[in-house]
Amino acid sequence: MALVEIDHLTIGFDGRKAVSHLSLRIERGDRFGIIGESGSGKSLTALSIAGLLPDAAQVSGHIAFDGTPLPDSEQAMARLRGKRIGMVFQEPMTALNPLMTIGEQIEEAINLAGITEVMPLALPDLLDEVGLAAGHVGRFPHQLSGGQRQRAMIAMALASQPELMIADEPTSALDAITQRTVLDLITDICKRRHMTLLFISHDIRAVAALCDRVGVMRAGELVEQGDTGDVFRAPQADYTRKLLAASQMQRRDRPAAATQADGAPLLRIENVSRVYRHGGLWPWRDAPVRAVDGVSLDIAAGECVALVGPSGCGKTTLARMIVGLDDVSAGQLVFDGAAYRGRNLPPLLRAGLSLVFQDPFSSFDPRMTIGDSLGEPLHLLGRLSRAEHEARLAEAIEAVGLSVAMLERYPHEFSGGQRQRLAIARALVTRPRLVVLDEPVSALDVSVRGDVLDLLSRLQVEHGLTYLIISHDLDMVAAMADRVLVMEKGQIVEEGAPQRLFAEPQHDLTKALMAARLPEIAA
Amino acid sequence: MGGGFHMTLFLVRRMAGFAATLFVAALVIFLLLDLLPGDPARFILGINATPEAVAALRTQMGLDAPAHERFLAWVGGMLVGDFGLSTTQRLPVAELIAERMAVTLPLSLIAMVVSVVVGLPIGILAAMRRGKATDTALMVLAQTGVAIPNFWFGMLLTLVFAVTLRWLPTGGFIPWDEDAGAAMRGMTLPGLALALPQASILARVMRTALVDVTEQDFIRTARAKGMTKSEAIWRHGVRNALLPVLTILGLQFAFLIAGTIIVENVFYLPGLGRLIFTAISERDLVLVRGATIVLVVVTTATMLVVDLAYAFVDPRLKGRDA
Repeated sequence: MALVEIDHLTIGFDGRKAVSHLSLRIERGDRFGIIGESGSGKSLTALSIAGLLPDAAQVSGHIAFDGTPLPDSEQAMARLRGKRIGMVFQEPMTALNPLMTIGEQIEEAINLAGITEVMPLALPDLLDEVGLAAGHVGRFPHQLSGGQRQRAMIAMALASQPELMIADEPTSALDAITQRTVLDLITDICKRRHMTLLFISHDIRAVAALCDRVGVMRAGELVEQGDTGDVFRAPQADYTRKLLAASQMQRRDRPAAATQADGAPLLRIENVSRVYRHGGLWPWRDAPVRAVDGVSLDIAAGECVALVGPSGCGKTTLARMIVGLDDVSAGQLVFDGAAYRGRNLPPLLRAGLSLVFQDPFSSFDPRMTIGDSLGEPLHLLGRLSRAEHEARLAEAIEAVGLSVAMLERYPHEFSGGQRQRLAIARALVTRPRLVVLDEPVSALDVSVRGDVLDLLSRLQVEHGLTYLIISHDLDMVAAMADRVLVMEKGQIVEEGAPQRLFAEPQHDLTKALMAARLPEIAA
Repeated sequence: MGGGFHMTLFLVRRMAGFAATLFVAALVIFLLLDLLPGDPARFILGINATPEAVAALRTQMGLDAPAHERFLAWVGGMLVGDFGLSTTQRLPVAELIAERMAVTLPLSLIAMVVSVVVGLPIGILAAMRRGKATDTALMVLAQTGVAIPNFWFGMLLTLVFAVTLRWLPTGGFIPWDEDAGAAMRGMTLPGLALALPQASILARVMRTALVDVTEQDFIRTARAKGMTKSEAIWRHGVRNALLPVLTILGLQFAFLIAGTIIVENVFYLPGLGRLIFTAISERDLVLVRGATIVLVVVTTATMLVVDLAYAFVDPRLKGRDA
């Protein structure tokens, strides 16, 4: 008998269907992966098994756990969750109570499980199992790293010795290295405990590495399901084929970089540091944080340089100083022959530099039309005639493959992929020479990442752009960059062409990043 | 982690900030009152006094000394409990204020306790029944409570409990050392009148905060661990929702200390509000100055207590200047 049986599950909000007629079976001991993009209904499906759907959801269909339909009473459903289902969620910072130590929170899960027949799992054993030191018991969530928080979350999920563990994007909020260790941990635990796993992800490679069965969801429907090997070797649905293709990053080759005639770099970073002080005027304030620590590098015109490193390594701080959003504490920057220290970057020079942010959802003012948002950087160029202003907007939006008519619309009318195109258009509107791309595709669904990268490659050739890409996604970096810089604790620790760097990493961090890459799916 | 060290550091920083605030406040109060037109000596002696008499009184009152000396003398005196002599009543300001505080402080505390005991549970209940009839009814009630002026509510209470039922006195105040029971009875109705709007505001703030917290991920986590929704809200939600409520509580207490004058008048209570009102109208600058600094101390101390309470409830704030 299947552990979870879902029959014709339909979930709607205000008459709009978010999941429609979904049927699937998860056998005991399976590691079942559901893959799909944001809004495909995969998380709702998972929540419905645990009876945790939002109150506003209208549900029809049938769900059985271990042969018995899910109970209607909230009390009984809560007890079922507490004793037989463990859950791990995406964002471990917000998923833990900030006012309680993780020890208290894990203990609460042990007590709620109320295991009487077997000795309850002691707290130290659980911590040991998820790789947390005993000393972490008394810590609050904000005192732990993202990976440690997710380990605490997993310990809570395991406390009741559940038969089913539901992991909803458990690693998407973590950096590459932590992501891999947490995935490995989940795999180990499932194998050791013979636990059934329902793993929800948008990352097809994570699902391939972790799961033996897979379902592919799109727009609320399960378009394909089967053994992971079979589905990925011979996908039946077009959508699955598209996802597979998108997961394989092809190297985007361009004509060789045309360096400036005099050989001077377009951007030169000279021994730049950024130090943050905390604690105000008090003499006993905390030691200053060196976010960027003596970084020097040159970027030639037409180059595509990538800066990789774990979260908190200082790569975004460096980018902010380059585009003039923050000041250096020491050292200087030279762009196109003019030296600056950050915010003193003169407007006309500033127009030659652009920044594209990671999240296309929060980087547009929702109350401004796209035309107004795109036109804002143009003030850097002084007064433009109305015709010139409009010509610039048209040029930029057409360059990213969208139409002039869209300038009248508002951000919420666009999909994530379209918004990132618009963000790129906004970066191009001043006809810059250097574009800094901070995680340009990591907030996008896998299927549109390829399109956006193709667009970036095309624009680089057409407009003779120079790119500085900031990312922790090594595959994307390998596909795009001419040169890769590896950053750790504010310093650049390794540098080289991506092929060489990834084939023979020298520094420990580069090695760790390489080891954390999930295996490619065998074609 | 050195939690104890961080906590000590935090306390030291907060206390230093407290002292600095008080010093700056004293300076501002002194300068403003010093700049105010009107000569207290002439005011006391009346229009017909000779310039010699006024000058003599000015010397006697220490008004002819340079400003910085008078400021230091004032601050130095306060540090040893000497707030000076009231110019109109010829009595020590400290004594006058202490006498009134014996009314105002307990009155404010009663109002606070009642508003917390009534307001918070109503807010929690409304949040748990969000969108249902109970929620709507409670929030209409709270809205009414905010809208009703407290002097009107005070008169209503007097009418019902003092005039008709004769359970409690209509007004006036019997000092604590004469008859503590009578003093307490005298405070009951004004305390309730003051508590009504405060309780209504607290109920609304509590409801909003708890509704916000209920939508947080960690409530879903608690439910995933095996709690029902209301268990999760009760065990994980309420404490988190109290954080914004704490700030409001602090502001309310500070307001009550100085803002009870209307209710004091309705119930003939000799409170601090009435003292300040009289002192201002009689241009008794020494008394105004003393009363103002006492209000500043109470308000700043309340904020300090709120800060410390935050640090106690919210581990994220310990040892941080946020």
